[in-house]
Amino acid sequence: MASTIDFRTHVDQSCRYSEEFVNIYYDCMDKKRRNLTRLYLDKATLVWNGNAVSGQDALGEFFESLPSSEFQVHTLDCHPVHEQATQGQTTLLVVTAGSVKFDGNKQRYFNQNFLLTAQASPSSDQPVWKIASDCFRFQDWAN
Amino acid sequence: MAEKPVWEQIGAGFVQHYYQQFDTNRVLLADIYTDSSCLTWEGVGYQGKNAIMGKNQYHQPTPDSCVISMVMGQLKADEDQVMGFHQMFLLKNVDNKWTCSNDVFRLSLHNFGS
Repeated sequence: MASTIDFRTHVDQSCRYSEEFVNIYYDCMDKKRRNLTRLYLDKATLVWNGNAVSGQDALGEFFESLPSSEFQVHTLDCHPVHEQATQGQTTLLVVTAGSVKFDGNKQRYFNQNFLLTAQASPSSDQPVWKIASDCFRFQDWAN
Repeated sequence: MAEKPVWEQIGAGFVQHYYQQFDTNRVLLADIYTDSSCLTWEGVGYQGKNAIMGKNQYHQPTPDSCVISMVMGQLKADEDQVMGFHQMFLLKNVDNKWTCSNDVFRLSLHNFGS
């Protein structure tokens, strides 16, 4: 039983981390776009509707090229990724869905997956979460 | 033409396999989950091969045009231990609407098999 409760606690904590992270992420995206790349690892990869963007500089350029946005997150799912799959690196899988209105475009639905990796923080016992991988898709891609 | 990258091959192969098994022989999906696997299905979480595969359902037509559905699964409420259950529904079409005419639910409290 103990391990079940531990796992439950682990999941609850992961969900809290994910919620905090997602709030920061979309707030940055909508209001402080220039800070957005700070949430990514140096070697992070973003796949945006099938187009890969890698590395801080390329990510910065890419986000600057997007029109201003208003994101609304409708669902958030989170799993802690099992250590066996990540060689002991604490990792969260975060899946969001919602709607977004890019300036000059109609409102669209989207899905987005993040792999978040825990980085030790010098100033706190709470980890800092960075994006290792980010995959974004418009849901109504055919239109 | 260059071969597709290995992650493309693995990903595409997996997705094809997953949905084919899902559609044709769902029981075999057990092979791809481990006891530490997690599934979130429409916001409900399942952990472990048995809990995931416990989402079992069987449906049969009856001679008088009803549908009999049996569901076997596992139930976790609050901090209680996980309990197996089975539930049987008899579905009857009345004026073009499916109604549940019978519903039998049992916790499997003497589940020696597990």
